[in-house]
Amino acid sequence: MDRNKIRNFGIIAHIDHGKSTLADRILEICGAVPKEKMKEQFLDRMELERERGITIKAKAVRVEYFSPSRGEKYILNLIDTPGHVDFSYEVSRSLAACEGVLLVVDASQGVEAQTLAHAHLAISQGLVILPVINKIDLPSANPERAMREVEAILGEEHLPFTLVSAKSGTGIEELMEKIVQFIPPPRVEDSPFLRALIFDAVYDSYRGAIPFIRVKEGEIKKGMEIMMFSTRRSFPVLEVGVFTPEMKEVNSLGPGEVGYVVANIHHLEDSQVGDTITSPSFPAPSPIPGYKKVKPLVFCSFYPVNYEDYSRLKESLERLQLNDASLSFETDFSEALGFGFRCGFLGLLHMDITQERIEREFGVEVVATAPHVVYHVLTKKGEILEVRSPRDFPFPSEIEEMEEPYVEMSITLPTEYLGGVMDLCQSRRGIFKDMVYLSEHLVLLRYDLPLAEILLDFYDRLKAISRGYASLEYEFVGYRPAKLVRVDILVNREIVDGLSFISPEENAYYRGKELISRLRELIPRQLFPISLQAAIGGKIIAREDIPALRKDVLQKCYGGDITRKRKLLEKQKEGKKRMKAVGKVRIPQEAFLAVMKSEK
Amino acid sequence: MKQLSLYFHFPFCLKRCRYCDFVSYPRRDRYIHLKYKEAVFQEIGWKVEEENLRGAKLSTIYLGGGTPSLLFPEDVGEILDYLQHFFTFSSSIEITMEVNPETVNEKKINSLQKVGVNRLSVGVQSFNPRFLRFLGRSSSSEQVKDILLQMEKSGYCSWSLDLIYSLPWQSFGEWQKEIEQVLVYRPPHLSIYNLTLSPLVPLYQFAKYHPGVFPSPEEEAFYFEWATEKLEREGYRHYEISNFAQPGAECHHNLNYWKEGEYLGVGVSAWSYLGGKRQKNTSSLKNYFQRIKKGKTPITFQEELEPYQKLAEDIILHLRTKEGITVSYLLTRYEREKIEVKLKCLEYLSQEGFIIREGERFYLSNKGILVANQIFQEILD
Repeated sequence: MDRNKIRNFGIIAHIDHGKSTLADRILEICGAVPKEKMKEQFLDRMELERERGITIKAKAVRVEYFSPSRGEKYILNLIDTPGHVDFSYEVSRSLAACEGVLLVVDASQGVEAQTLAHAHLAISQGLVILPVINKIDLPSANPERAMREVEAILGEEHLPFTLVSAKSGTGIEELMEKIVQFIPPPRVEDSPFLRALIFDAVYDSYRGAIPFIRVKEGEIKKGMEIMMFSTRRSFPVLEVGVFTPEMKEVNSLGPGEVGYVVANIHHLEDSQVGDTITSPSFPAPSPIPGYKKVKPLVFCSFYPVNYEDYSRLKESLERLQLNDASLSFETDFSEALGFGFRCGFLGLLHMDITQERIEREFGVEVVATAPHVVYHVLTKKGEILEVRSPRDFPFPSEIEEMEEPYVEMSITLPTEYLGGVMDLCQSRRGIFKDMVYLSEHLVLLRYDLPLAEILLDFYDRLKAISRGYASLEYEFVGYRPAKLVRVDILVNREIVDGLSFISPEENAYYRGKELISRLRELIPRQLFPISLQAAIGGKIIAREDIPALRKDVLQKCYGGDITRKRKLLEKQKEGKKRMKAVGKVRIPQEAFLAVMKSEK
Repeated sequence: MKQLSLYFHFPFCLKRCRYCDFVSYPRRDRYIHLKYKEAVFQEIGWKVEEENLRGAKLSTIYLGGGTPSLLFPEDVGEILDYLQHFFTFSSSIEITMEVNPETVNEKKINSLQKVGVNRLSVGVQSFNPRFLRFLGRSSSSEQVKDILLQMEKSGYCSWSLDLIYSLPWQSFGEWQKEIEQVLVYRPPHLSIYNLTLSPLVPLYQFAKYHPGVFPSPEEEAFYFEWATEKLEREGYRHYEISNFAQPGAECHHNLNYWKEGEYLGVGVSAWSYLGGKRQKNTSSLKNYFQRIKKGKTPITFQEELEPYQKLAEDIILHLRTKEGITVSYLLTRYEREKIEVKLKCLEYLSQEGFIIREGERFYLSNKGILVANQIFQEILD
């Protein structure tokens, strides 16, 4: 394989700016997927990805492109990257497998916070950026403006822009030529070692974990032994291959090439994204730089709706973890919800998607508790506690100091919403950092915010305030001092596990009050009166009562009604069984979810 | 000899009321009524053979609908005669027919009695013109009052009227007036329902978009409690959740349903309960005609309850009545250990005041009646 005829590139874009459609067009023009087999957005293999229009896992496809202007054939490796901030580590690893990226910007939306973050990531990795203005055929398209904004964020003029409509195919040929022209072939240093970067992995129940790799130096062949740098474990290579986009076996993968390795790997830690593959007999002295173990920032617990599903839930988490190294979990128990798992995620979307995948791909219905962060608490005894759940929160009298994680939030927004968005950030304990005008109409705003403040509904509020025009991106910046309390909810004077939450002291009263008034709506009236209280360390701060049910009666029941009414009663009974019993009171899952949505 | 009840469904009306989810078609032409009657006759013949019912003793017959009072008295007579070919009528047989005020007059009422009907159930629903219009009834409040005067004068040993409450903007005063109107005519029997709208009826959308115009559950409970007290003072027994009767005027046909007795249902959408099986006929008139014509059974659904379901259903149905349920009744039908569990549940509910226990008998308290749905769910476990 002539290395000079290889182009490895990724596509980065904000959600909905047309990344997957563009990938489809590229595959189509290279004949990788026959037109009749072309499902919309071929690369988004997961049903969930197709529905939400986002890419969750990075993927790679190898296609052949014949350049008419040069009269030569090229191998293109298109490495698809997740579009969301939660997965920025995966993005950075995917980009490490590339020499260039297509930066896709919607001609009518312009630059968004994510575009910016990803572009900076690409620049920091020294990649060539090919800006692509997409959706130019929309009536609202303003390619001129979009180009100016891209120039503003990249700080460069006269970029090799391509104007395309991925949907209709306009401009795709031109883009293909630019890819070949501007993106350099893989740089390869002559080296006696084998080093290959794992940028993604899938799990196959027969063949184990299958890492997706980019070979930097050396060659991988069937029959040889390979070793994972981080675990030092070795495996015999059973197969190497490329994606066409179906997996296709090849003899070997050499420097600069992208493909997969089947090596009977059955443990997650042996196929971690970012790790380096080398040879056990002649190991490289150092791994490919940049590998880090990703640390989850957001935590919540998953409980099976049906107790019997506990082991299936465990199995599904294990399976998901196999190709999602950033997902962590440990056993958890709640009096209200039974056995479950406390899981760690990169962010809210990651959490959401994990829950949806468990429900959809494994058919296990789960209840998710409120997402929360890890607080650091220094006790009077001098211990430092990592508080992951309200249950671990010590009594106020035992606490010396507390701190909580902060993020630096970048928000791009049209200038007219500036006031509203700044108010939102201030109300979430935000600390203003700076503000940059990207163009006359577009502003980049930066705040430091407690991570906990953005977990609940920050994104929704931001979208509402800016009528959907603002976009955000954030980065963890460290722990800072905080004043926090644990608020407990008592139902008929019993503390209900799963309804407690940790809150900044300044709005604990309001949040407690707000939550119990929501619970009052969510807990159906029952045969007995129910009292709801919010308390901080034994002190009641708010109370509401749900009176006993007065009337619930099937009016008529004659010969023709009996079966129907029995079924109705059975169904209602089933619904009740799904609720959690606390004493005589049955609490529906929506009540537990309410803690999650509790507004401030 | 086998004893059972018979239900005859007549699926035609002058027009459809806006709250009604019974199977009915707005067809008033006699031709279709007679064609339907013939089809039902066919069905009766088959089912009698199929279920081995020839010679069984009928204790009650109920002609429901729809508006069976659209039938001519001679047609009703023919139906009753036809049934006599297959069944023996008990000497105390109760033969009820539902009538809508706008379809009968003094003469028709008397003719119906002559052909054998001995109990009429009058679809009044309300005396208030506003509510009659809201419900989409065909009868006016004058027609309602006229017919009730006739009923008072007639020689029917028993008759009944239906009332609906929990109507939009219905004040307590308006509800009191309805009950006072009822007491003017002193029907031997009275059914009171709160407006319940299935998603299939036109008013469902109205209720969905204007939930605030209906009395609240508190008000409903109060209306119902008030009516119960008032009627009991006036000599009525609250003998089933939504039924009241002067002593001896209970509806035996319906009691048979609640006592888990057997019944044969014929006609479109009719249900039967025979030999532990519940069966339902097709709900489509067209399909019914086609099946009968082809010699095919009109039954489209059948279920046989598991013993645990049957036990729960038996208790629930019995609890609808003031008689309630007795331990000795249960012992004649179910295994002791299965019953124990249910008795514990009944015991618990009686400690909480939802059920009253008198010796071996359990029945719903007034407090329990209002939340009967919840009580029944407890028993289902």
